[in-house]
Amino acid sequence: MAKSNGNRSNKMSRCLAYAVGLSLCLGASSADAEQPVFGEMPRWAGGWGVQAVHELRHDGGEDSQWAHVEGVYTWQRWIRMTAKVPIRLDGEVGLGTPTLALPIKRYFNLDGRSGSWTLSPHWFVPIASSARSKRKEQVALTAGYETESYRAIGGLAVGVFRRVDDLFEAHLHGAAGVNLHGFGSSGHLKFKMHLGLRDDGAQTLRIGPTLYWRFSDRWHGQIVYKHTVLAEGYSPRYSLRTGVAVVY
Amino acid sequence: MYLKCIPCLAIGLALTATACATAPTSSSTEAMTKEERAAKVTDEQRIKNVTEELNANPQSVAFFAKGMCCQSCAIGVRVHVASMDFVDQTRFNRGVKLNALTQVVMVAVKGGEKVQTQALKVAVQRAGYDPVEMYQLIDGEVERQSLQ
Repeated sequence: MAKSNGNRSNKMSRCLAYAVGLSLCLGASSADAEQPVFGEMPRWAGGWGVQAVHELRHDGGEDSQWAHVEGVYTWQRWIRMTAKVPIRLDGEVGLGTPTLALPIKRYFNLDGRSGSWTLSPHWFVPIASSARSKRKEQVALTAGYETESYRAIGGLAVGVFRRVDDLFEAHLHGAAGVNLHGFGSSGHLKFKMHLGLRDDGAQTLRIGPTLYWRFSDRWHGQIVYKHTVLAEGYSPRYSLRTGVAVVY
Repeated sequence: MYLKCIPCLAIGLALTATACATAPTSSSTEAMTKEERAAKVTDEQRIKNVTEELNANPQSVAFFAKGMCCQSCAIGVRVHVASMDFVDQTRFNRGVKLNALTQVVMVAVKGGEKVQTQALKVAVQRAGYDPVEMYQLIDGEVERQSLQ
């Protein structure tokens, strides 16, 4: 009986903590992390992945469609290279601002939990085909922490971005969710938040869910929705991304 | 005003991640190590699962890959282990069966082939996990061999 009560107490504590965490994420709102493809993947040496994403975007009163090609190659488990290339599909059709990054990771393995610390420099390559498709960021440095158990997943990341107009931005990314198991495979449902602060006083806060599913070892898919709940100095952006990835 | 949300968000997310990922499965309030608090499956449960799996698949070995609790991230274990000569790729999924709950990997072994323990250990490390021990069925009993 005592053991049963103890288990119930632990479960209640866990549920309460989870509810509080999610409430804070959702209530205060949030955004997405800069780690391309699927964050943790591929964590094995010599692994690579490519993701094709279609995005429906509403940004500052304008609707647009984008395609994104994102790739990652993991040399060793501690270092990988990532590239993200956006392409606008309507209106001013053409290339957006590609992003290159070199995440350096330190993984840890515990019994029942795994995770990593990440330090990642980013370079926003200024080759966009039009001024409207061009990102204002030049370079960035982000640091993050991710952890995962069989049932739960979460992470935090902070980043400092330098822009072409010499302004600086700070970004806080958070994510929390549950791993899903069934139909002979697995996936996860996460809620992400992104808080952006610029040194001219502009602020933005975006939140949204992400649903990821592993169709096979090779094929993976995800749907990401982001909703702006605060935009002071930033244009409000709403986007729905559908991505399919292949990983080797 | 929203700047006040930052510590709340940080605390909330940290709390969520920590609570969900490290909640103990036993009711013991005795001092536990960080690893024990994070455990989802006890050693006894793991051995029981391994015994059942090895009895059902006698021409196989199993090993405990610490940290392998994400089915998608564990794909690398299959990538690296399946390419080894002694692995029978006609069984399981390319010769490798992953269990993210118990963190146990089953490997189908070709008839007459010897398991290359050291190579297996390196393969698991290259996949991003820490190999702890290997299990084999010998005379109906599970024999444990440390890989550390």
